[in-house]
Amino acid sequence: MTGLGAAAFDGVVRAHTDRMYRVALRLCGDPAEAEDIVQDAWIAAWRGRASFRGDSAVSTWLYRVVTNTAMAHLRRRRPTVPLDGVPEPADDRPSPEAWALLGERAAAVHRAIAALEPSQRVPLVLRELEGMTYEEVAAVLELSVPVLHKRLHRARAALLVKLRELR
Amino acid sequence: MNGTSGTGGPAGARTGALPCGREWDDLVAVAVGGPAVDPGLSAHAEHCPYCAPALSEAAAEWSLVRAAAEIPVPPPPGLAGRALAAVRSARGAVGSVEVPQEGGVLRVSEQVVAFVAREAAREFLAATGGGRARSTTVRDGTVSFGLAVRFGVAAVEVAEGLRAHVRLALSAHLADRLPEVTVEVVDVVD
Repeated sequence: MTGLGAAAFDGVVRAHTDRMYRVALRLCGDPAEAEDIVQDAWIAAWRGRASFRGDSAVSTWLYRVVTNTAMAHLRRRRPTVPLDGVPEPADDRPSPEAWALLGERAAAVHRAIAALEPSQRVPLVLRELEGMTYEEVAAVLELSVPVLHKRLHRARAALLVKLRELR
Repeated sequence: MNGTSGTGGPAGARTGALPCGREWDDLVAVAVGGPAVDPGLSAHAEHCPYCAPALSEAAAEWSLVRAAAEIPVPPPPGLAGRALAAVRSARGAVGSVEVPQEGGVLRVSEQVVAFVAREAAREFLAATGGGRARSTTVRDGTVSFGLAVRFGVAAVEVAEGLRAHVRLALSAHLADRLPEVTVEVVDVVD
């Protein structure tokens, strides 16, 4: 990537923005915030392009950039989920109307993901919604595959618990 | 999970061990088709009165996740163009603002000015519901916003409030060397 000039980088932006948005939306659950995340992620990618060494796919590096950017956005949010009991819908959760286009079933899943701890969302979204292999997700998160397995084990169970709570 | 039992019944147990001693989380792994944590669990669950319904229920719920993965997520129109504009703005922000201080000069890069301005705009627009900043550029001492104003909100008032909020945020870094802040309404959103 360091060898890419501005024009080539612009080509990467055109090719990968839709995917970046999809990941951002699935992680944060809010269309407006997802767009902000995408713009911030591209700026971070341009400034940090020297960190891409070319020994992995551009998409792996970009997934890392957009998930890190999304996590930074989520950390800056105020907490939206009560620590005990069934979570109540919070103001910055996606409204039912916002999710209507995605279908009611998908809406339930996205609401449940949005209620999980941020650290659980990334492996879930990359593996279960983006359909990446364990090796690809591990590369994005810079984890070993066995450690990823453990995280996903907990995250999947947590997701089903949230799905039941939010019904 | 946390080791506490669920509802006590086989179908509805959510965490911890089932009455047969098997872990509900491990049943989820079987339902998902993930790496086996308990190698004998699949065979056990076929005949266990506690595991079989719990596994069936988890599998049905996991089908919702699979269905969600299949539904397309269309990006908003023009997103790639706005992303390109943001990158080009960052690329072009190579100058700096010089703030005279006693005994020297403080230089604040235009990249920092753009970052602070963008964050301040988001803060203001989120708090007021006035719309969304579609673009933020800094060039030649001017901060420019492309604003998507919310339908039914007076653009003049949003622009005035946005300008004041951004200048206040920037004043912490630039003292009285505040840039001009221009706002262009580029869209209307619901």
